[in-house]
Amino acid sequence: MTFSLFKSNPGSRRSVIPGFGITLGLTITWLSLIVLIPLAGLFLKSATLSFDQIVAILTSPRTLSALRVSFGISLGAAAINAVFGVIVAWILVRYDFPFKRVADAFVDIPFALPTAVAGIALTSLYAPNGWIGSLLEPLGIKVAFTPLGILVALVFIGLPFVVRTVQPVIEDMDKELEEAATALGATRRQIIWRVILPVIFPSIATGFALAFARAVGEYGSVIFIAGNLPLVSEIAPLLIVIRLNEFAYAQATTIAAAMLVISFVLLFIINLLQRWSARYAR
Amino acid sequence: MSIEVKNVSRVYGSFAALNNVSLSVKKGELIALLGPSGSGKTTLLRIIAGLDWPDAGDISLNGKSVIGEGASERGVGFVFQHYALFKHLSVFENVAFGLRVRPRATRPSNDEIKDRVMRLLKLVQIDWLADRSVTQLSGGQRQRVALARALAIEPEVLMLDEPFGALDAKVRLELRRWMRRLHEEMGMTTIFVTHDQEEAMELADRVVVMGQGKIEQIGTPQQIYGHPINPFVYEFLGQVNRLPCTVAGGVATIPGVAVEPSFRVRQFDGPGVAYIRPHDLEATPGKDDGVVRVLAPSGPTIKFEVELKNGNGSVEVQMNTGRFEALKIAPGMSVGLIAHTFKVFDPSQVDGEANGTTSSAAHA
Repeated sequence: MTFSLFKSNPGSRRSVIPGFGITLGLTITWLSLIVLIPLAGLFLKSATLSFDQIVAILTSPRTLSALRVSFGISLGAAAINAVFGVIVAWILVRYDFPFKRVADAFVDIPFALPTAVAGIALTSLYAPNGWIGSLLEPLGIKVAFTPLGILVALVFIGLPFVVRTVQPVIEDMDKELEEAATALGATRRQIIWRVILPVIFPSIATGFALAFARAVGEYGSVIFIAGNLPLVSEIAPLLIVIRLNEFAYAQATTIAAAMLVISFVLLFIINLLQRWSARYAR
Repeated sequence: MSIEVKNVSRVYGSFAALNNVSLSVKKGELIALLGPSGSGKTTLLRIIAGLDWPDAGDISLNGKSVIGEGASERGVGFVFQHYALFKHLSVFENVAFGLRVRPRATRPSNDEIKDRVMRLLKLVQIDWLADRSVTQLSGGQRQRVALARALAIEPEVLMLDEPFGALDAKVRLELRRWMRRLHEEMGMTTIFVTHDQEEAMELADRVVVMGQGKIEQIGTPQQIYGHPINPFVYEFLGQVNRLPCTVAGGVATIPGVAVEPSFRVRQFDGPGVAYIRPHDLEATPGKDDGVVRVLAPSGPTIKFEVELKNGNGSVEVQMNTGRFEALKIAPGMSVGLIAHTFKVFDPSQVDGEANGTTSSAAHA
């Protein structure tokens, strides 16, 4: 009887990829220590406030403005990067030109540079007396110490995310697809819209999400160039730091928790979009 | 559509992919471009389709030069070796692609597109897969989608690059027969590239044998197989034994092999190399030209090696299994050899030494 039981069920405990139990355990422990517990602490701390207090903090004009500035400009910067990052990736993959490798290496610099350094460099460039700022000044365009300056800083730090996620996909793209479309009578523009973009769109969405997430959390470069005027160019992370300096910890965690929820919802939507766009390629 | 290729050359760096190639194809013909890899056959196909440009020469379709036109203007159907299907589109949308990208004035309505695509999918026998993703299809089904997609634009010429190369043997045979029928039904000019001589022989009206950027011979399968004009074509079209010989007054003498008494070699005199197909050789017991070594029975015929006693290596012999059994030939037995028919080439035309069997280049 026992024998037949064993026989009837020989393969159920075996898997081609063993170690599911231990790796899942490690993953959960690790994620908990690094991500989940600190984030849970955020919500716990906020919960020391009453519901009315929380609503009051979140609906105060300064908080709303900071959140609007942070998310609005981050989305804008990610969108700009999605366009120009794809062009940079395309050029780096498809064409040969002198110093291509150097140009390729330059893309990673925003990854490596301390963000404060980037912020100071951009500020001195775009300040009214800086190289670029002095050229824009007569046109009535002010970059440094305005929300536009925040945009410039966030575009800077987000660029490599789009380039590095899209680049390998363009590299893998079969040139025969474009040839096939040409032979079927498609124009160059139709090929871009109907063949190339659908193939690279999922990677653009991923790059967009990464650049956006990075921009929302960015602090170092922005505070130098933004001017940090409350209600105008104050970002949410700065407001959190200000509240911390005032020892208003629960207020700080409340704003942080709000950022977390908004980010999560936005990233979730981008993720859905990305899955939808890749529905056939699975 | 008739196709005229005039003195086309194409150089990649220092490698001449095509060297002054000329070819004319009549309307409705089914042409095979046959050759080993690197012979320029795919380059020629791509140049005719407008996916590549010649460094010199001219291409005319229906008597009109199209050298200034790209692939999108030439209106040829092209089927890629690895299908090049659009993975982000369903089977239906892949086939509809060529119709959807037309300028509004000539674009069929959605209903017409639907009708036409479904008709094509039925023609290639995969209408039940219309809504699938192409990533879910087998190789043979993908090939059919690629074909339907190329046919959707109603091309006057269909071009296929190694159309059956990536399929397993059974599917390949099936698709090959089916494509021949399709060609007969639709009657469009068709050119396909292959390195498989059997495929070229079975399908094509005419075969163009290419080697090292040049056309070696053009002819019907019978002409090509029966009368190869040079050693390259001879060797490419199947296994062949190469043996030194001398010809005097049309009578050939091959050391170690007897020659059918009535056989005459035309237009050749002096020392040469005899090219003998295995099935044109026969072994007879009771003589002592060589020793039977290895046997390889394959259905109705049997192939075996005979090691020549005169030191000229081994030759391959292919015989009818019935005849072989009647003669009671066995490994280790001494046999005589008779060549029924063969061709003699000048030794200067032949690369390598003239002894033993050379395997068909198609398997290289």
